[in-house]
Amino acid sequence: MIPLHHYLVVSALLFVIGLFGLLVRRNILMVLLSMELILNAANLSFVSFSSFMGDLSGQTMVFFTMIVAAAEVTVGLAIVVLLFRKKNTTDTNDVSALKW
Amino acid sequence: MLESILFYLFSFGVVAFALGVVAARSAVYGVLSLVGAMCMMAGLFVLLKAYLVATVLVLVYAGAILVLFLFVVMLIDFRKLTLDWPKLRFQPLFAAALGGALFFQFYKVIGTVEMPAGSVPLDGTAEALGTLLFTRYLLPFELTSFLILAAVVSVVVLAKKDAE
Repeated sequence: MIPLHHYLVVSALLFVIGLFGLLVRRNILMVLLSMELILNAANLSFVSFSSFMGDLSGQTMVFFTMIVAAAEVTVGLAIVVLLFRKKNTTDTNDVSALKW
Repeated sequence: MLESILFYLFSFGVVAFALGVVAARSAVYGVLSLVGAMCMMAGLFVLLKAYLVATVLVLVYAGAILVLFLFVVMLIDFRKLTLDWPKLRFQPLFAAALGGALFFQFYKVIGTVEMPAGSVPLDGTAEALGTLLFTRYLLPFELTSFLILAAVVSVVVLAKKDAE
């Protein structure tokens, strides 16, 4: 049996990779993709804890995370399409109307 | 033994595909990389005996959400997407330092987590999860339908052409 810590380290790695992408990429689509990575890192933590504690609640939580991710992606993509239609760009540096 | 081999295979796959997502030069490759990462993660979920979650991850997440992503990437003329690596100067260094520090902290915290003793992993079958979802978590489950309804309405309002 693989120890719990191995799964948690994989989850932490995924989270950090997603965070790196979130900070570095300037294309709004890539930012959304990195966010998906972060959400899935959390999912992996939930499932591994759920499995090792013998409690299925963590796995139901994954469903809720997926629903939130689906809602977030649809709204985010609609905003991206709108942005592209109005400003003809997907670069986050070109979208600075609300910048302080 | 087989479990260890599969675990390291899937973990390596997840991390490699995740790096592929972050380093992708075009959004299409990024999305396809994320599909790969999802499939590898489904493998990890099967190792953890979360069968229903693994199935839903592949069917709904990789199958539906990421295909939606791919549609939008194709809708947008991706030749106009800038290759955004050369313009950056110190941002990757800062992000790598922050990520490294955060990972170090995660690693320390994970080291203090104690293995729960004497609990056997339950099979995450559709029956077991469905029972839990429709008894103990019925209210949150029903509330998510409001969230999805709100998302649907907002997307329709956002995406329709202006009336003027």
